[in-house]
Amino acid sequence: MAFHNILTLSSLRRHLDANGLRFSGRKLRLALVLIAIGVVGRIVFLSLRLANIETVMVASLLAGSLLGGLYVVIVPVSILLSTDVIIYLAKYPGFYPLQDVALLAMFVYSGFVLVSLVGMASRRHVVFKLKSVAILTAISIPATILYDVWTATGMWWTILGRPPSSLSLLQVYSAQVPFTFFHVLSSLIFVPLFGTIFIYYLGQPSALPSPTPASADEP
Amino acid sequence: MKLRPAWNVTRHSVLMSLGFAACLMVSIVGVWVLANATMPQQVPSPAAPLHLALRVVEDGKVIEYSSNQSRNNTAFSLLLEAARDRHFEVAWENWTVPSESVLVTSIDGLEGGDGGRWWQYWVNDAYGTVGADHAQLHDGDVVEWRFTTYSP
Repeated sequence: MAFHNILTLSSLRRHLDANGLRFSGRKLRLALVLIAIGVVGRIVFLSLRLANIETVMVASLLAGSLLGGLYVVIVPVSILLSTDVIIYLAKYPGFYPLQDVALLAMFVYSGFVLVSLVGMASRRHVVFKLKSVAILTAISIPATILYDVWTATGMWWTILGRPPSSLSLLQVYSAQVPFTFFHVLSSLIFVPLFGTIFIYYLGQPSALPSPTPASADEP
Repeated sequence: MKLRPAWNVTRHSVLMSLGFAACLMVSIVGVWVLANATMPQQVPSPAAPLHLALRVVEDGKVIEYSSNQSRNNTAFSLLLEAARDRHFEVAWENWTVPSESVLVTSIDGLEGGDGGRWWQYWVNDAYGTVGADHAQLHDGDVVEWRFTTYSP
């Protein structure tokens, strides 16, 4: 019945919207803005030599919670790909062997996609009200910690756990602690800031439709 | 259905917003305090002069330095002491977060990134895993700075 129902154009459109798969102009523009925020923030704070103060986290979280669908992958991956080219080719070329960097990149990229998925899991609760900022801020803390644990594990597995560093996993986690506190600080500042802006913007009359649960009985 | 007066809704929204803002500020201050408490601390000056040695290994050239009366007890400060004594230049980047730390980018004119090689240091043949200004030295330590790739 569900397959028959998506055969009409309008029902196909509803099906794609319900699952966040249609690249509507408005969603695409919002995604581009999130990508720009992630790129500019990452480069600016790295230029100021402020490690772990970045806007990729908030862009990924908002992509998941406000856009959903394929934007969960597109937004964080676009930010990282475009900035990594600048950072690792122009700024710190060849510091680590390329194959190790590529392996580490898998952890970093998947980490931010994971954050985006966490944001998407909260999507039903983000209904373009200001209290949604509180929800997003609250989930940004465990999302940031989860990301840091995941990438620290990757850093140990690909680089620091091997010679010449030869650090234990516990040593890597211990060294990560102050970085994580500053990373959480970054999330506590940027998530409410950008979350408020985007939720207010999307709460306008011409806003995106609220996320609706997929249903086999949809007409 | 009884509706709440509009001014009640507005006051409720303002109070909720102020409450959230207050919680957020407290959280930010709390995390900031925790972050500063866990930051690596600067190495204190030694109580007595130290006997230290330093070696800079670059392309076909080795610069040796030693001192019996050094008060510079980090891998970075000893490098600066050697640079002043042996007349070579050192350049570095200052990082602020998560702690005040340095990244040495050039020694004796050799810039990091040249052919994938960077300046890295060893203390008593153990690879330095912290910022050079946080690597505390003890009497008799030997520091070696090598211009090399990061590899086993």
